[in-house]
Amino acid sequence: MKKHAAAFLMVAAALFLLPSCASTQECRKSAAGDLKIGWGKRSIAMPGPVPISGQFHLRVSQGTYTPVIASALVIENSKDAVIFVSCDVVSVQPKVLILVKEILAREIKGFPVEKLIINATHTHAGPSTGANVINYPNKMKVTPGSEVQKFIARQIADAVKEAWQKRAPGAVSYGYGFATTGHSRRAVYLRDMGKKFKASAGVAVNGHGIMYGNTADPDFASYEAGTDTFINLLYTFDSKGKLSGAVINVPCPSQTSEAVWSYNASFWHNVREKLAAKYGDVGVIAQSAAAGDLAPRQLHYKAAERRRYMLKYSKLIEEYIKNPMPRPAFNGVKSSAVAADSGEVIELMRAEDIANRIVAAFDEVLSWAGKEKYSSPVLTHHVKTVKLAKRSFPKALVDDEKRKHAASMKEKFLTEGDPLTMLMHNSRLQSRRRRMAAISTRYEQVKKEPFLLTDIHAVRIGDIAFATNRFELFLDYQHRIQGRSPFEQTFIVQLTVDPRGTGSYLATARGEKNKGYSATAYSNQVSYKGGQQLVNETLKMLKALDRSAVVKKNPPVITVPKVKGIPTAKDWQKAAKAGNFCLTDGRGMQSAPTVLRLLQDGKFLYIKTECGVPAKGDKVIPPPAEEPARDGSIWQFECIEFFIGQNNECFQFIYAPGKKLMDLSHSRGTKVTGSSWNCRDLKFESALSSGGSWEAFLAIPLDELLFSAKGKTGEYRFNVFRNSYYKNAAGQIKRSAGSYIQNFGARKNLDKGATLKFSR
Amino acid sequence: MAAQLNIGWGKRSIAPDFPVPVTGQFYLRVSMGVRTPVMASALVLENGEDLVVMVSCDMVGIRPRLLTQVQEILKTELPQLPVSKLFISATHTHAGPGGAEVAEFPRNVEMASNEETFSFLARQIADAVKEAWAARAPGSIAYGYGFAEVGLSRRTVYTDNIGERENARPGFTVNGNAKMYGNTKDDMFNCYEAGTDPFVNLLYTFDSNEKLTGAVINLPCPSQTGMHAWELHASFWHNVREKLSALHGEIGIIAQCAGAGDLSPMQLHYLEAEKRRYALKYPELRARFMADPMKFPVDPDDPGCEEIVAKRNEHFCLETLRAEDMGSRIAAAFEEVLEWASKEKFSAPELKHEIRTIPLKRELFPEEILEEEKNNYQALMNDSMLTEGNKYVQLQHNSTLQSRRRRCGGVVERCALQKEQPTLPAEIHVVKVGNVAFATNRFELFMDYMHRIQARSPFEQTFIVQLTGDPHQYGSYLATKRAQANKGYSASPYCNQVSPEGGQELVEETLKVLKEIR
Repeated sequence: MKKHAAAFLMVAAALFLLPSCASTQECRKSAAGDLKIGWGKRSIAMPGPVPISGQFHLRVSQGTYTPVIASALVIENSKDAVIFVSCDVVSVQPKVLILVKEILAREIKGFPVEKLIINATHTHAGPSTGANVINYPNKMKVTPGSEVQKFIARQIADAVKEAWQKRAPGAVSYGYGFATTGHSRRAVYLRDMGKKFKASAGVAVNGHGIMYGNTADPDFASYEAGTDTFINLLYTFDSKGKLSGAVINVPCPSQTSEAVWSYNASFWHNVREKLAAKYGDVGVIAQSAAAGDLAPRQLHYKAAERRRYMLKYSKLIEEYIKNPMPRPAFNGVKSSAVAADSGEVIELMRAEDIANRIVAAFDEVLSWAGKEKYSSPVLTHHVKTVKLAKRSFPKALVDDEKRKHAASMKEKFLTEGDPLTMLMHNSRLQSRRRRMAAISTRYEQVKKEPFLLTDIHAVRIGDIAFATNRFELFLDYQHRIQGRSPFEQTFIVQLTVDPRGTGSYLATARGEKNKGYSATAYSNQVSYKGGQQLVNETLKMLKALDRSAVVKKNPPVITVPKVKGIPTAKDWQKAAKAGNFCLTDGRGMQSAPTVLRLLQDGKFLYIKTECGVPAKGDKVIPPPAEEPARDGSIWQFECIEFFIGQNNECFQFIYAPGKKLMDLSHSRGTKVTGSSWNCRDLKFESALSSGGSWEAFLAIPLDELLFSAKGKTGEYRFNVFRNSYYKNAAGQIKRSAGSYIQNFGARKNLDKGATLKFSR
Repeated sequence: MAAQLNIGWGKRSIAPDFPVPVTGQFYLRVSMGVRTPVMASALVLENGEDLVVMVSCDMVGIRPRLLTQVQEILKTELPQLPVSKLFISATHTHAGPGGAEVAEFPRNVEMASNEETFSFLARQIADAVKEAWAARAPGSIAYGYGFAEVGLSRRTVYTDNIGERENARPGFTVNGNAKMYGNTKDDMFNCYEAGTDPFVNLLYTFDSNEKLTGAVINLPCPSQTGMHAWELHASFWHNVREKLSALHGEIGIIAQCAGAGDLSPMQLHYLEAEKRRYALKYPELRARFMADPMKFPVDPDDPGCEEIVAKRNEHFCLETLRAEDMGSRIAAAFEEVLEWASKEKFSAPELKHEIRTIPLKRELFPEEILEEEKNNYQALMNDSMLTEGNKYVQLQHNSTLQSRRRRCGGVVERCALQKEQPTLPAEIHVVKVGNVAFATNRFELFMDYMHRIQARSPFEQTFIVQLTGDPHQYGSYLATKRAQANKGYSASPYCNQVSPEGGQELVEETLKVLKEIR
């Protein structure tokens, strides 16, 4: 047994078990990359009688039950940036985005306003960002919408400014887990329920589908599209590896308490509180993935749900009853007593329950995803305006809506009595009229302009991506994007503000067919065909950001030119080249440049290797002089690992500056395997250059490559690894593991390697 | 007030020390050892007025023959037990012993005969029941539900007719707009047909000292990770049992699969993310597995043999880690629910157990299918069985051919019967235990049917138990109308004996009994 061989095999075995080697992880942990991260937040709980929207009727804030906030996260490197903002509101109106951009452009020189992504969590108890023009009889004092918009824009801009100012070197990790949050809210029936459960004109048209339909009905058939329990997580860390925050993305709008009159961030508040208790003041970007047809509400097992909360959260309920949320006074009287099993309590406990599951998933994913931190992931952010086919409708429907609208115009606004009752009645009537009238307007518009323009952001961070849209997007669209995306994980962010207009439900073909609230002409600006266009356009953008930018997705076939004997300088000019190394796991390019030049003469494969350093002043660290020239432990230092194989067998040549080489056989065709094998007649030279880089020349006798079953003559699979190990000008030791083809699993597995063909 | 509840637990290994057929795929496997224990667990709940005996088995299914054999043993050896009150359900592991009666076809791999296999299994199950019966003692129950994200939709739907793009082989399936385990990277991928269901129903049992003695865990997911394995294993239920015994000591577990004909433990998107999840989360487990990978037969003459072994090892490793991941989620839900549900223990819940045989409308086939399947059957009869070469290659080829012949022939037979016998008898057990209920069926029941029953049930929670042994017939997929329109494996004529109308009859009849006993 040769010296070090046993130790090598043990280390090699350990490395081969993992898709990315431990040393690489260590390297990533310690490497200072170019990623900068900053967090900021502001309260958006505007005091006063601020409108709260989310229902057909308007509500007016009676105070704050839980904080409602805007959180901002800046992720930036020298090439690109993304600024995520999440807001505890039902939607962010374009006007707010415009105001925020104006402030940021004015107050931060060079701020990339186009890289800003603001999403609503869809709590139905946040301050309204709409214009909220009150053009109906009203006796309540209501803060004008324009003032609220200015306030919220200021707070968002300040949160972003804080994040921008605080940005500092850091790292990200990512992963996914499971948390049951949203349930299907579209119940489907065996027959058309339009007549049995007739919705008010202007609200919906029921068919086989009903939103929040009664599942105890004898005709109940199914949930339309089911649910999705995946949770996507992106964690951020400071330069010391301490958790600083996370993007949490779940397909569920945070609308547990959706008819309350005080500010309430729904389950995101509970999540933030729980995470703060565990991790201190960490930032949270709360994103709703596609969940147009989901809600945090169970439609069956209601009694069981009630019992669950009564038993599980008895103390919380007791506390709540003593100190309930601020509520309005109807006819001057505020209801005081709250029953333990009232809807109000159930909704609050539901938020607590959901948050517990999100936090459990957060911790679970962090426990393993935190092992891989990336301080220099690829960051690319594209924004594109796309055209989506609008939903059109038949003339008969327009005529019908006109009739209904005319009838609603005969319904009377309340002009006296309790101001709250008036507000609710009148705002609801106004909403219904608006929706009916909009049908006629849209009918005419679709004829002139059949497409709706909307902005999509697609952001790549390492191996994951974000894709935004402004809609309440039905779940199926998310699955189409995630299923076909080239990224490991794709965070879909719905209800992202779009300067071109407000989002609406984007239903699927089956949704449109089944009808019901969220899938009728009132609710859908874009048709299901437009939905597929959104999917295809998003995928186009994702593919443009794909890792193929740095990783050779389709391993190349390299034809090695034939020369006569040992190559001359002129021969090398026509050599085949393999370079452009990525990090072994494909999360970026290796900063140390590597080029292999390949030639052959039918007897030998000639390889000339040029290994550069990332920057001037860097110097590679060769294996120590005491390592033997042949089969020493050189893989731990600056070196190249060249693998050449056929049919799941291969030979490995590790070579380093200082004329050190280790050769191994992983082929059953040789009598000896592992490092006991020594390639005969091998020619090898290597030398350090004065600039800190090194070069090598290797001539491999092809007759020595004894595979047990011969493949096509002169055709091999190969891959090359660069273990870059150097000291920078500041004296710090840096490492990285790169490869010619992104490596999955064992390095010797050449399944996905490139092909080497010899020209005759 | 009902009478005091008596509770008894029993269990037996159902892993024989001889090679047994392992079914669940078109091709037959023969056990090559035991990877994880495979069990029959029995729970008796009895109060002197009524009783239920629940048995769960780490098997792909419970054949009528097995049920009958167990009942016969118990009639003789435990005459005080009314055997009609026994129901046996399969966890649907695809790596359990037996599961089906193996047909005759040329093979030379040594394995137990049907008689030996069924006798062994019946004996072990009967002994588990006898142990539970003998162990009966006063106790109490608690119940609740939580969430464990385990089963995922396995039916992918496309915007085009995938059957026109990909020809499925006769005897396997007929693809349409849907495909089982279809590719979600396909440009025409539209949606998962019915989504998923993360609910887990739990019924805990306690002894008279209020110590946890076991639980019924009911969730809509067949335990079919590692479904091509040649070593016997219980899939994620083994991981659940290990984790719970580490936490609670020796407790009984009845592992039930709720309505999950269209669900499986397999993710169909985020495949790379899943691999990465396990690689980072379970490096030690992965290393342990790779140091001692699962056994399976290889053909040493196959030039790609080593590559096949490497790929299989990776595949089985992934599935082993998936089972661990699911086991962790189920155990977490178990703990979460136990924490609050155990505040309410019921020592004298009402116990009622009804057994009904109901007629369900058959799947009726049009004439053209009869002709087509006759032709398919004939063509398959003309295909040859292998009689030489590697014995495992023979086994795989011949058993697959046999399965396909049987399935084509089955459609022909059912076509002939459908006029005279438009319905099929099915046995259902409906059990009330206080405020919760159990409702069984023999099918691989599509999830929508479960939702119809659970939503309309008068009980707080309704545990649907699919793949329960039925003396009349072995279970098949019971697809919904939307599934049949989409076709694909599990919703093609080969797979469905009962029609969607029959499915609704099952719903209505189950609900009728649930309402009666409430």
